[in-house]
Amino acid sequence: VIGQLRRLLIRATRSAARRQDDERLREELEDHLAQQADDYRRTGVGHDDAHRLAIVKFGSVESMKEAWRDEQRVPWIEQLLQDTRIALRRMRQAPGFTMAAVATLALGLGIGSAVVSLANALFLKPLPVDDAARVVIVDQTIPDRPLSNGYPHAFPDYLYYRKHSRTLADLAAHYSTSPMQIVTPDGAFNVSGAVVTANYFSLLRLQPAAGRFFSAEEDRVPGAHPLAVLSYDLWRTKFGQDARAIGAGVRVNGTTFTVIGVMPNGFRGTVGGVTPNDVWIPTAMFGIGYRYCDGLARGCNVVSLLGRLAGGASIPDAQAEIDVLASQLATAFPNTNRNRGALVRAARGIRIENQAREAPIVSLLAGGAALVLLVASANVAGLLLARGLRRRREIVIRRALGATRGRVVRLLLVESFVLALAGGAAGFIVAIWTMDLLRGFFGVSYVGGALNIDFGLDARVVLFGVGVAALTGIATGIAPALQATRADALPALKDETPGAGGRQSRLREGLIVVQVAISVMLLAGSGLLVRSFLMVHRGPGFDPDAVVLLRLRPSLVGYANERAWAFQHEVIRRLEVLPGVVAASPAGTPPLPGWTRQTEITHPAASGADAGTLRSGMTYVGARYFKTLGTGVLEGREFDDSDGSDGARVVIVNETLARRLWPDGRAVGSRLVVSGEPRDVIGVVRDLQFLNALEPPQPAVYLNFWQQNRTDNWSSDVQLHVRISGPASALLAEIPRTIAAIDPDVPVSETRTLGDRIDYQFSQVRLARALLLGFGGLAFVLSTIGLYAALAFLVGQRQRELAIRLALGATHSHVAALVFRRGSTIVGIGLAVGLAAALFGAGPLLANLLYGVSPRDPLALLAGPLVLGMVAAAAIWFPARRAMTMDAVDVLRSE
Amino acid sequence: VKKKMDVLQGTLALMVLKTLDVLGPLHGYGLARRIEQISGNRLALNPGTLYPLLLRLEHEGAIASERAASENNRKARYYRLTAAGRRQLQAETQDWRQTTALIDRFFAVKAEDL
Repeated sequence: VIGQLRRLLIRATRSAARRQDDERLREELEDHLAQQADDYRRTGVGHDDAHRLAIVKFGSVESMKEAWRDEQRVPWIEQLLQDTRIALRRMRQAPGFTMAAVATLALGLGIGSAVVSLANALFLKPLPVDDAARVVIVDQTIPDRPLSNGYPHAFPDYLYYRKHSRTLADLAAHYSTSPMQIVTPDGAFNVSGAVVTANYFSLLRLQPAAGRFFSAEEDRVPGAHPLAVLSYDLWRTKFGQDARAIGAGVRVNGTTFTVIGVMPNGFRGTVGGVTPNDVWIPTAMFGIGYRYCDGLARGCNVVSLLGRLAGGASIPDAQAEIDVLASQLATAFPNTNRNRGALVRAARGIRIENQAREAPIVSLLAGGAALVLLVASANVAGLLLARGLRRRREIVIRRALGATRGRVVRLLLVESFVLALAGGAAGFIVAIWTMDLLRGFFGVSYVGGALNIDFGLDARVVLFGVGVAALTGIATGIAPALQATRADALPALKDETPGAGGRQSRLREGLIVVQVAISVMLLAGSGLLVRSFLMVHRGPGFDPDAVVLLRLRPSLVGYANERAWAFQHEVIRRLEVLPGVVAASPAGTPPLPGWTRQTEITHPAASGADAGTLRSGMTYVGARYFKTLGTGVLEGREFDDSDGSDGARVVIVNETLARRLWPDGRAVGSRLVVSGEPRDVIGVVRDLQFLNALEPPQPAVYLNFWQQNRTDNWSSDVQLHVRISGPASALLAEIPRTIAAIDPDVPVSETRTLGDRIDYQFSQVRLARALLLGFGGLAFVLSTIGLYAALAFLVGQRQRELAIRLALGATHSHVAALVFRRGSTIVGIGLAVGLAAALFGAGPLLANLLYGVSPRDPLALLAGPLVLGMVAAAAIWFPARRAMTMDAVDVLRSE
Repeated sequence: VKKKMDVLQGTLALMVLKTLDVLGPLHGYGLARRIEQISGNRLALNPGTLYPLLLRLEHEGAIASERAASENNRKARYYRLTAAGRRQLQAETQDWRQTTALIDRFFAVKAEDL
């Protein structure tokens, strides 16, 4: 096969030039013959004879062509193929070395490529639509708040932008994270829907897979056209891909909609990193998809904007124009729009705020992958160096036979190149496998569903892999190649085992120091994260696997105020009598980071530093909430059934707040003003916060869920906490059934154990832990192998010297100590450098992922390096033993 | 009939370059005739060697060529020396002189000289 490939290559590169040259020779041949014949004719030879004689005189045409072919030099490609053949032969000759090197590179390259495809999927991929490069996102900007938050606009502002923009050929509005409870004759289920303007479809150049999309006319009068477009997936899984589904009615959040069309297969909305969309409804039906304010009114910031740049317009053009329009809006509507602006950017990657969230962890990943690649390259370079020493004779002979230094260097480079490419190919498999692993972390929502992220490999990533493999080939090959060819010919030929080879050994040992240092740093970091995750999963004192969380939102299906509250009461009553349920308690938000609302509290009796108002977390919780979580109460009591909506206004505070306001410990019975309303403190509870190494504990208050201000119809929406005894699996199905028995229209969503939610919420810690452990372990194994190989090689190489020392009276232990000293110096330096790097680099870098463990925690930092040190000692011991048991006479005789 | 010599390997290029240098642009056939003539007809030039050589020299940039009408109204390819070719000719002339001078010394040597 190689032979065929080679011929094909040669033919391809040469054929064009060859054809021209052949043509040239043929033309010259004809000219020559004609001239020769002319000459003959001039001397009186007949016409035909002249021509014949000319041909005879010319001689063999074939020999001319042959002469031309001989003239040509061996082309570079031929030489390259020759080198490649030699390289492949060498790889076959040393299968152990080849496997070690290829596997090492495959891991380094594979993990690197996977991380790059992840970054590509999260930050760079354009929308999966036609001419996606011209699709832009226009976000609202709010002073003093991060640009990376992608704030939505109010619908009237959208209309103004659409009407007046010239740089945007079209502008569509959408709200793509609408929770929709769908009821079909076959059952009810939850999907994520989108509320969109009619031009959404045309702007994205979508064609319906069946039926049609709605028109601008159908999106004009609020409430007039309840029309729905389904995703292809939903149509297939819930409607049997049946054309009769078009025109059928489905209930969406309690209102009947008519299905009019199906989206093209694979299109799941324009927002990446969120639950994929399954249903699209017109903005004229906004009330169905969004319930916190009127989605079409000024002041209700809910729509995101998608634009398509007009021909010839660039993003800066659009930005300049939108800036002007935004300032006009700010002038016209100072109450809502003062200082507000808008930011135009290319529609790439997942939702911008998710990008901001994932960026640090992806950087960490990239850093880890780069380090592993570095260790892998150092390892392969070490292997190649050692082999280079062993091959000195071969190289010297090549040189002696006339190969130039460049030629030999090229040969060695080609060898490492072939090795790197083989590693790259194997790395592709590692990349796919790693990608699957990463998908589990980045592609899953907090309720366990798949997110709208396309993790597929694309050409860019493959190119990256090939490029890095090639670079690795050069990086690993150049030093050994130069080292090997620097050797002087004569000593190497005379002496089978050259001396210690100071430079080479030092370079190689330097490489091992680097590897040991990197693995120590990674292992120390992973030690911190292992402890951190242990702390996180236990949470601030609760037993997360005994608590089931679920979200119950009757307001989604239009429940009015009192009916919603009554419904929640009924749900809790029925759940608390369910076998296996210990207690059930409603709460406004789960006890997880990012959910807690903030409020202002005042302590009327306080003086000094804490007088006046102070910011505090605020959570609405029901009776027996702390019993449900299992954290209990430190002082006083928690809410019970006597604290109804008409009971006394009471409040529970956390430890931090109690300590701050009542250092004398008399919190219970004191008064506190929360959000302007005075309340009696009835209890003190433990701090229920997940705090990383950078965060101080925050004050928190707990108010009674039933004592909320009931003007909003969604305040009754609840995160229900259910404490269970026994395994969660049965109850995770039983609880929604119990609720559906009350009203099947009310969506029960996000039913999971608190443990699962924590694991998701801290997936970054989990991921970082897995990564650093994996990377660190890998680097550890690689560096130990490298260390062992280097020392074993050292002993082998210095055999004669050691034997002479023995013969001259050195003791065996003296010789072993020599080896031991060398090895422990390498490991010692590596450990010291690695630990310093962990202490001053990795620890602080990971601080925001460290919960309940200090970045300088000695136990966590030292555990990994300790193991490494022990294994390294073993790696040193074996070669040292060989030196100990060496028989000097045998060695010297064998020379 | 005098026995004709084969061209010594490597020297034909030098002859071609020198001939073009002295006589200006020539076509292949003319060049062959001229070289034979200059050699006093002691050289038998094999056209099968000449044309590949011309092609190589052109690839190397020492000569350039173009098709033009020949003296008897035929089309033919005319070769001329380039600047690079002229430099190459100078260098090779120098080399050749040194080599022959060296060889001459060996031929001239007698036992009593040493």
